[in-house]
Amino acid sequence: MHSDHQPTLPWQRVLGQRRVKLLLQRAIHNGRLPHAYLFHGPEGVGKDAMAIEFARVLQCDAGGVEACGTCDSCVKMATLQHPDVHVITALPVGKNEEGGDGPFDRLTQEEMKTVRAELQAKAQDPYHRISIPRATGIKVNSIREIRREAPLTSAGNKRRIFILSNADMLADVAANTLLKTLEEPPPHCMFILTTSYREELLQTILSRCQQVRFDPLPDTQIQDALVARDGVETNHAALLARLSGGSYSRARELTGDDLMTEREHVLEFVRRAVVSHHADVGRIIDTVTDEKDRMRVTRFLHLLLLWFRDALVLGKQGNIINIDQREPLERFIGRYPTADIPAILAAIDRAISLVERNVYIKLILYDLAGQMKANIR
Amino acid sequence: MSEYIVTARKWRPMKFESVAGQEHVTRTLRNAIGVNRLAHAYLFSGPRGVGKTTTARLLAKAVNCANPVDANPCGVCENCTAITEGRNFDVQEIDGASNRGIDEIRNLREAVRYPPTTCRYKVYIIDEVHMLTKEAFNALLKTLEEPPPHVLFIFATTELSKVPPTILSRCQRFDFRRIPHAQIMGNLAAIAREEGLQVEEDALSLIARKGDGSLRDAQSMFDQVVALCGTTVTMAGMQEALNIVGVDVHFRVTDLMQQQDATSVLLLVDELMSGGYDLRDFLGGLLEHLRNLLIARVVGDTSLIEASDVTRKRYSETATRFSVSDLLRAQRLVHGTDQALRFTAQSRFRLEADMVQLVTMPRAVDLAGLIDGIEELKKSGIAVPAAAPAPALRPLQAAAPSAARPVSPAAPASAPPQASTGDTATPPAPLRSPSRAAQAQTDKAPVPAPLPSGQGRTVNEDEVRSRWAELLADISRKKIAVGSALVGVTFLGVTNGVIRVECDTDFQLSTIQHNREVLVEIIQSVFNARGTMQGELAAGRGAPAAKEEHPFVQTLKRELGAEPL
Repeated sequence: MHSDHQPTLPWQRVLGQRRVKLLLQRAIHNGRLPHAYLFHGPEGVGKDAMAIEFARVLQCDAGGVEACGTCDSCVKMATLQHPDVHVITALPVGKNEEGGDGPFDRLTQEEMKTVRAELQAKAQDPYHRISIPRATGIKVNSIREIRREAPLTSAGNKRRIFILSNADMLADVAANTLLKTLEEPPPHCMFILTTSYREELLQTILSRCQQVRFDPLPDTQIQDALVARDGVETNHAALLARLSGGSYSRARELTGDDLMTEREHVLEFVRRAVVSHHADVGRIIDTVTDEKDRMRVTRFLHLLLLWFRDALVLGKQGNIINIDQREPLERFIGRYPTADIPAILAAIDRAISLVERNVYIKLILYDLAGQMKANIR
Repeated sequence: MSEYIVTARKWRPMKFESVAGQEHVTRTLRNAIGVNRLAHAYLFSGPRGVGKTTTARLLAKAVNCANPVDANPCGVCENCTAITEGRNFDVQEIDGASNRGIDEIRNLREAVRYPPTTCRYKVYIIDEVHMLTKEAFNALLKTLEEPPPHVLFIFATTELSKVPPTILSRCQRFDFRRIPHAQIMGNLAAIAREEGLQVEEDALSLIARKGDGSLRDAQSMFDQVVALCGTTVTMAGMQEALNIVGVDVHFRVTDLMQQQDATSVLLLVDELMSGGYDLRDFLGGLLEHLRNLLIARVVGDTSLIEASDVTRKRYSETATRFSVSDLLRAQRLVHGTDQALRFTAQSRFRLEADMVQLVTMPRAVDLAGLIDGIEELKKSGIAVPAAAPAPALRPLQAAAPSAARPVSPAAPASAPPQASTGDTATPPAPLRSPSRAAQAQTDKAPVPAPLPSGQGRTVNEDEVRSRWAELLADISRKKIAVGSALVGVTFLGVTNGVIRVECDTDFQLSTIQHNREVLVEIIQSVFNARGTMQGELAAGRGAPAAKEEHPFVQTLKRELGAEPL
C-alpha cells in the first residue's frame, strides 16, 4: 500500500486532466485497481499519454505515486520496451498471414521498421499519433497473442499491463476474441483501452471496463504546452490553442503548415462559394485540394467549420475564436442575416466525414460550396 | 499485495436466487432440474451484463453437484469447487470467439463421445456463440440434435440474430431481460452492506440508472465511484467526482427556451465545456428532462417521473409553459444532436449550433388553437360578416373562466353573451366584401364591441404601458396560442379603451382579432377595467409579404384552389 496521503497530482508528462489524474491516483491509493479501464474522450487530449504514464507509475520499482524515472522498470518504460507493458496498436496484415501466426510474424522488414520507429516515437512523445501505412485495424492475431501472454507470470511477479491504443480499431472478430479475457483475465493483468470513438466499441466490451472520461484541454494549457514543449512563439501559440478545440494533437498539427495562408483560403472559399460562379469556386478548390494529403483538407475543413461557428456565435453575441477576423465575420452576418448557419455547419461536418471515408475530394468541396450557397439567402 | 477483484466478479451469484431480475429463467431451470427434465441444449440470449454466463455456470454446477440444496448447487462439494475454480475436466467453458473455426468444433465432437469422469453430465458452455463461423455451426448440428445422453450444451450470446435458425430450433431458448432499476439498486445496496460501505440512496439510484438495465455496467460504475469517494459515498461527492450534470442545468435550458435567449445558452455550453462535463451525458439528461416535461404536460400526473417530489412539482409547473408540439420538436432536435455527437469531430460546435436552434426555435401555436384559427378564417372568408363565428365558437371557453371568477365588478358587462350581442349588432360589418372582411374587422369592428355601455371605467394608456409585460404574461398563461402569437408586437397606445398594438405579420393581426373576447376578458381581469385590443400592421410589412408569394404557390391557389394552412 502506498503511504502517501491522498491528494497528489503532478504526473508532469500528462497535460492537465486533473480529474482523471486524481481518479487514478485514488484508485492506486485505495487499492481498488480494476482489471480493465477504458479511457475515452476527444482526440489528442492525452488518453494514450495517461495510459503510458499510469503504467509507468504502476510498474515503477520505487512504488510511489510518482514514477522515479531511474529504476530498471522506468528505464525500460522510457523506450516502451518493458516486458510487462504491451502497447497494442493497429497493424498491417502480413502476406499469407494465418490464424496461428504472431502479429509480427508475416510483416516485411520494411513494415517492421516503421512499426518500431512509430513505437519509439510514441515512447519519446506520448502525444504522438501512431500512423502505420496499411494498418487498418487491431488484428485478431494481436489479441490472440494477448491471450497467450496474459496467463504467463512475469519475472518480478508484477502486473502485466496491456494498453490497447485506439480500441475502436478492433475489428469485430478481434473484439469478440478479447471478451472472455477482458471479463476474467488471469491474475495480475490489467487492460487499458483508449478510444476517441467510444460508440464504435461493442457494448459487451464497454460493460467490462471501468470507463474514464477525458475532457478537452483548456486553451491556456495547450498554449503553455505549445510554448514549453514545441517552442512555439507565445502569440501564435495562443491562436493555435484557440483553433485546436481543446486537442493538443490538433494544435500541434496546425503548427506544421502555413496556418495564416490556410485561413486566408477559408475566407476566399467562403467568399467565392457565396457570391460567384462555379468556375470561380474551382480555382480556390484547386488550391486547397491535395489528394495525397487528405489530412490537409480535413484541417482546411476544420478551419472552415470554426469560421462558420464564429459566424453563428457572433450573431448571438457570444465569444468568437477567430478574433482577428471579426470584421469579415461581421460583414458576413450583416449581409446575410437569414443564412441558415446550422445547416452549413452540418454540411461541413458531413464533408469532414466524407473526406475521412476516401470520397473524391473535389467532389466533396464542390458539393459543399453548392450547399453553402443554397443555405445563404 | 492481495489483488483487488472487481465487484462484478467478486459478487457473481452462487445461487439461482441471487441472479437478479431473471426469475423467469432461474425458476424454470430449477424446476427442470427438480423433476429431472433437462434439455440437452440451452441457449441464453440477452443484453450485456444481465447474467447469462453466470446462469450457465450455475446450471453446470447444479446438474453435477453431489448434494444439491433445493436444485441449487451446494458450493462445497468436490464437483462444485472444482467447477468454480475451472479445473473440472467435465465442465468446459469455451470462448466461442477464439475457438470459432470448424477444427475446434470437430475436436469438440470427438470429445463429446467420452463419458464424464467425475460428474454426472459433461457440460459444454460456449460463450459468445454468435462468433462461430457458419461451417462451425453446421458441423455442430448433428451432435446438437442427438447428443450422447450425458452431454449438456449451454450457449450464451448477446447477438441472437447471428445464430442460425437450425441451431436455435435445437436448443431450449431463454431470453434474459434487462434488469429493472429497483433490482439493480437492491443488488448494489446489498453489496455495499456486505462490504461495509456507506452509500446514499440517491447515489445508488443514479448509479443504477447509469447501468441502463445492465447489472455489470452498474457494478463497474459502482467500483469507480467507490474508488473515488472511499467508503462513504454521498450524492454530492459523487456528482462532483464524476462531473454529473444536475437537473438544474436542464431546467436552465428550458427556461432559456422560453426566454429565447441564445446568448445565455452559448454561455451555458461554455460552462459545460470548461467544467469538464460530458456532453452526451448532458444531452441524455436533457432528453429525459424533456420527456418528463412532456409527461407532465400530457398526462398531468407526475407519478411517471423518476424524481423526488420537489422536482416533480417543478416539472408540473414548468410544463404549463410549453405546448406539446414544442416539447416534441425540442425532443426531436435534441435527439438528433445526441445522435450526431456520437460521430462528429468537433462536438462542441455542433452542440452550440443545435442549442442555439433549440432556444430560438419559433414556438408552435398550439395545434388546437391553430385549427380554431383556420376554421374561423374559413368562415370569415365565406361571406360570414365580421366576427360572427367567433362568439359561436368561443362562448364555452370564454364563459368558463369568467364564471369561475366570482367578484369582478364589471364582469357582467364584458361577459360573452353581451359581448356577442354587441358583435352581431355591429352594423358596418356585413357591408364589407368577403375578401376584405378580415381587414375591415381590425379597422372598425372591435372599437364598439367591448364597450357596449358605460358600466365601469375603461383602461387608460399609462396603466397599460406600465403593466404591458404583465398583461402579455397573463395572456400567455391563459391562452398560450394567443400569447405566443403576440411575441414581438409593439405597444402603440390606448384610444377610447382600445389598446393599439403594432403587428409584424398578418397572423398576429388575425389572432388578435379572432380572440377578441378572450382578450377583453383578460384585460378586464388585469386592469379591472374595460378595454379591447386592436392590431395595426407595421408600415412596410405585410404588403410585400403578399407580393413575394412563390409563383408555384400562386399556381396552386389558382389551379387547385389551395388554401394556406
